Amino acid sequence: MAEQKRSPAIQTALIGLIGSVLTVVGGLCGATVTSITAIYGLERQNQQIAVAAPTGRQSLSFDTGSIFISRQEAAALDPNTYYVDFEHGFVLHRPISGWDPLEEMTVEEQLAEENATCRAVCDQPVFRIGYGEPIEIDSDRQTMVNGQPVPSDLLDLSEQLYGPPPWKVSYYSQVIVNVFEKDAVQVLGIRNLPDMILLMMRFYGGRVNRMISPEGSQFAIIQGSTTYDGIRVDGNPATMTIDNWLLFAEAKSAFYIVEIKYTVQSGQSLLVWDDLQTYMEYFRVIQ
Amino acid sequence: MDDKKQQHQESSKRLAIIGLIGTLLTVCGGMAGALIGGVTTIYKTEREAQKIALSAPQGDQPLTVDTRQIAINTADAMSLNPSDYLVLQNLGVVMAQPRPGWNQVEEMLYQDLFFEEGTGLSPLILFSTWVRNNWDDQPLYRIRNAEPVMIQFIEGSTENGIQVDPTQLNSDTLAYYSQMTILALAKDDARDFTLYELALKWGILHQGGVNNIVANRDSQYVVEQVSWALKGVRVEGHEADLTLQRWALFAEGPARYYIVEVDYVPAANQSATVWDDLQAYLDAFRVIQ
Repeated sequence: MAEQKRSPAIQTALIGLIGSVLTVVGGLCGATVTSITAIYGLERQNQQIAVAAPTGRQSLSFDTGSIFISRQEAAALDPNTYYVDFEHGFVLHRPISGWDPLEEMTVEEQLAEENATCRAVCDQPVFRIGYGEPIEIDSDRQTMVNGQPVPSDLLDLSEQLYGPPPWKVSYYSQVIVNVFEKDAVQVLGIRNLPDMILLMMRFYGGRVNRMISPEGSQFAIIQGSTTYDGIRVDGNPATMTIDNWLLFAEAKSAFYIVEIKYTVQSGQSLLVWDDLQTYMEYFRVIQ
Repeated sequence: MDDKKQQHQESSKRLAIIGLIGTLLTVCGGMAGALIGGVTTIYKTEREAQKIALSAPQGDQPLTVDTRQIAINTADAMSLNPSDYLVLQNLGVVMAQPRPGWNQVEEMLYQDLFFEEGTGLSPLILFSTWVRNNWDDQPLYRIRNAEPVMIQFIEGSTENGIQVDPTQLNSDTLAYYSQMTILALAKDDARDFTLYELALKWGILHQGGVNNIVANRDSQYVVEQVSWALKGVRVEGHEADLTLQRWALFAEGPARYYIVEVDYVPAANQSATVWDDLQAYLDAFRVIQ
């Protein structure tokens, strides 16, 4: 009888034991949740990259964890807000209020705007969204670029191309997306993302202030700037800095280069900067 | 009475055992919790370690760079064993002493690279068109393996896909060395460059051979890995295809940029320690902050 009917003390002990088990399970669950949260936080931190221009100018942030999305995810995006291009494999935020419509052109047409002749990969697509009226600057042989005089051979070339100085050049705040199919750029000897980066940077005339290219990643970020001294804007002597942020990404069949060009203009809405941040933030490569 | 006492003892034992199980569970739980916490900490540490290993695509051995340990303070630098380390305090840098089978440390100037004959030249010379510029007197240190690989260029030889004309060379046979070269470039004399521009230019000079560029977001350094293919050449009298491996680390101190170039020339009868020695040289490199 005594065996069959456990004493109240044992019952109490069993209840205590169950309590201990629950405490242990709860503790373990808590530790697991804390660890997962810590790992998630760390991973997210590692994906969020803010790249500032030098001397405390604007900082553009990149969520490197969401650059690549699937076709299903791309298809689910609101087409009123996003330009989803399955053919070229990318997503771009549609032009925000106040911005020009999205332009689609080729590399050849893009170079022609700068009076340059295209010699290779001329048919590769370029997408561009510009803001408002450009700043028109007048430069001449005395203009300094990044504190250095322009080499005389380049000045001579400018004179051949554009005639005698002053030379008028237009600058916009804009976002440009270049898509280079891997098959097409093989003729340029491009086999991988480093080749693509190096080829593009060969022709970059500005200062490179920052480069981020994490090990094993399929992207790289470069921040650069170009400062012009001794120019004229609206006839007045001026100094102007153009900041650039470049995102290079590699997908299975193409390379992508997203370039943000930003220059502060007097009277320009501060929203322009926020808009550029939006364009970069919502750029996606469809995998 | 005895039965009752026995029953009471039995009951006490059960209670004690139950209590013991509870204690054991609590201990196990605590240890498992500590283990999870420990694993998380290790993960976090690993994430922050920034140790990067770059192997050549064809090679199975990566060269590693622990970018966390590149910076060292003066006191730590001065306490290093001089038989293992060469502390160049005026240049703000620490490098390894040569190991057996390697030549003595060569102390050179940048311009000396231009006057070398009969050897495969360092691509560092390509930063400059020729001597008589402000990099001429920049200090350069080099450790070379004592046994070069003699490579003969013949008709049809190519260097990274580009035809080499042996008749245009002073000598058709050149000595290629496994080596480490450190250029300590004064920032005042390299105002045209940022650290990243140096790295990009070095990469551009190797266009077509660059396999990796690594620049982590929280560090002031860049590491690149390059394969340089020599095809249709002669090595020790036999026609051969050879892939030279190159790594470059770009770092900066308060007053100087440092370009550390590591060259590895594979050879059939080469000592297995050559590779380990190069890794040790790179491990020993420090910038005094």
